[in-house]
Amino acid sequence: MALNVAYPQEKSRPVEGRRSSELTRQFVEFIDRNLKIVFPVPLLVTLFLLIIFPLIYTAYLSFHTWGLSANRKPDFVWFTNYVRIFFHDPRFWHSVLITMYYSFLAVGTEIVLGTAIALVLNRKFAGMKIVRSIFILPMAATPAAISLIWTMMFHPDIGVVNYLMTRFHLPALVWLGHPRSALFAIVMVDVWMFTPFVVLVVLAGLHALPREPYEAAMVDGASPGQTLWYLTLPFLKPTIIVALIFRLVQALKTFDIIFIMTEGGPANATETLNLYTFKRMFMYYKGGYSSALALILLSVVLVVNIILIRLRKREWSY
Amino acid sequence: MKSKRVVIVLTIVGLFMATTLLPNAIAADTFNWKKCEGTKLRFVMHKIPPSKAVLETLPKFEEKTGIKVDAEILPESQFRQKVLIQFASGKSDIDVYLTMPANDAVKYYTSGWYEPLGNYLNDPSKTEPGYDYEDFAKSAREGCTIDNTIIGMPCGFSPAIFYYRKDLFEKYNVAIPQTFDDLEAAAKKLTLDTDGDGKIDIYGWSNRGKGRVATSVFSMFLFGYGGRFLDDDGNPVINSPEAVQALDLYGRLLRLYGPPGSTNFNFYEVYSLFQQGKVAMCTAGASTHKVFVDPEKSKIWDTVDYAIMPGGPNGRHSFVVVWGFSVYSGSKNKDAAWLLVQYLTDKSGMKTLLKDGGVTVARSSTWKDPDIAPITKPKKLFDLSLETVEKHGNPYWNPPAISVTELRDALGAAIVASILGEDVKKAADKAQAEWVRILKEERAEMKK
Repeated sequence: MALNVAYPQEKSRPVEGRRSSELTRQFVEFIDRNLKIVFPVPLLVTLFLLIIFPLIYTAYLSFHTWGLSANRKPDFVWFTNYVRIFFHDPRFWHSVLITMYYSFLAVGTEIVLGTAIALVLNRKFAGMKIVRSIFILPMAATPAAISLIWTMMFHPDIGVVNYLMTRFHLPALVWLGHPRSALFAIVMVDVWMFTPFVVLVVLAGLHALPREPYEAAMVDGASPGQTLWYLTLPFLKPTIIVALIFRLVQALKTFDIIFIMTEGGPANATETLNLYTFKRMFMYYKGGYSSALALILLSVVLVVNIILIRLRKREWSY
Repeated sequence: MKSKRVVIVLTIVGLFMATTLLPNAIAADTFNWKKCEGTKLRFVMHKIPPSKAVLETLPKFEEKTGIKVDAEILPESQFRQKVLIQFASGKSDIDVYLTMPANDAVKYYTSGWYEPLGNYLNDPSKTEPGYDYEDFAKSAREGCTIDNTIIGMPCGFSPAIFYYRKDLFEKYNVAIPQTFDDLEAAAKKLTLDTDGDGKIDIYGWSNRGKGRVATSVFSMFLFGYGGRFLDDDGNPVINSPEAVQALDLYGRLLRLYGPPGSTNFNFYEVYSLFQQGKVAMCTAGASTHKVFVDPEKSKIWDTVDYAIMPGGPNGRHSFVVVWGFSVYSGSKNKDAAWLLVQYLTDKSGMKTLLKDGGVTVARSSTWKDPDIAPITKPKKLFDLSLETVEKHGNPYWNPPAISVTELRDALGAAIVASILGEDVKKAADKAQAEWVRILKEERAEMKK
């Protein structure tokens, strides 16, 4: 191998006669010889243990029913779980609807708001570094802590949000207490938490923009609005789609903020597919059924991912 | 060679001494605390009023028995999930754990996770003389027995108590409600705008409304009107006229006289509002009293008072939460585990738990112990708790089934619908249909 040839001097060094250094030398030689196996092995082991094995086990469980007890083995039931989910479970379809509603509303708002903020932050102004650091903070904090504090803030009587609303002569809402407003309240928290992520990604994209088109536009007398609409945004499309991919995939799987703030209520108004799967498994003890739900969620996320990646490839071909 | 001889002699002497000291451990006929010396136990519980006192007695247990205990206290829902996952895998090293039979009993029992303790009680070599199982309060014993099998030793119970603001009752001339009608009238009278700004400042009534967690409080109204979860044949009857009446009242009380956002309230939100003086009446466990009279945390610490929960035409049915300690059936140190359970729940153990204050322990004799009498203050609260448990206590505040959580979710949805002012009969019928489906599936599963 090339590596062995590169260091001939080390091989002809006198061996000290102690067993350990001989073994070490043999070990190092073995690794040198089999580099293409040795390097990927830890990654493959981790991938297998953390991703592949759980996936196969979940798929296996989804064709059985199991009450999460070691005393009763899972029963093989063919496709019964899937048939029940698709044809006899209105709560499943409701959770899919809520998931889509939540994801698209939250991510849509984040993209628009994030891009706008990034465009503003892209200029030079006094204190811009501090402002940029402060903007990143919501993303850095723990979702669990954030959810608890926002729950307190949304309290209809003693919460800060209603206090501010009444200060500005707006009606005080029930927020998390009513099925209609609960979802919007959680979307608000999600937007607050993850808009900085979009800001970061778009800022990076803005720094990579080519200069010539802008100079040409200035020469041609384009207004700032036209520059924005006809130059900046089209250039930013691939970057925005990258942000969209990351955020949408994450939003479809959101669990922590919803679980802590409303636990899927009131009356299942905020129960997304992920939350429903969790409830079925850990509260209702339906191992097989929830495994099937989990696989369906995975498929949905996968499909969305594939669509978006295709879109990005198309856009990034300039 | 002299050193070798010394070694041999010392070994022989040592063996001799060891054998003379062992007989205590070998004699199986007499009970001995040090029988399982050297074992290591794993003990898991969630936070309940006596948990701090329990932790404090563990070092004394280790001294007495030589058994080392590795104790863990977790928040309630994490505790449930952790224990569930551990037991489901079949390879748990948990030996002793806290159990709330009203919630867990059926599931854990049918899954075989409880070690039946009846045999241990009857074996004099395993149980200390004077343990006296009959000394536990009747509903505590019943609460920890399922299918004639004793699955845990009761540790304490917490009955639901009716708390109210003495000052408001006196100011507006309201008597302590005895019936649900009285309760509604009092709530209406005490929903007040005290500073004339058009906004309500004090709400007459507040309680849980967050779906599943509200079903325990709701059970008081359900049973009070004569309703039930299941009929004698085990079929659900939660859309019976009595149940619909109870749902209607529960929702109406919160909708008209309760603070906004009740549908997201668990007990914590209710207590906070009551502590801040924004609510005139609520229900809480007997142990919550400590929280209400703490001058640092509660604005109403000097004007809170309590009484027995009002009842309906079918009487008062305060729900009683019973906690017990159980031994895991897959434990490898069952005898040692049983020693720990005994130590925590025998007469002196219960005395220690009660001394911590605010804990209603499950043994009747502990209440009458002369040592305790000066410590149990306020006496009125403990007398009230005992009376509630003995005369009006209902330890069966959950439907007796495996899928308790799912059933509670379905009933909780009906409660939320009632609070929001929707058609109560329709919501009850929907919950009933869900219950029928869930129980049918469950029974089909069990038959296999």
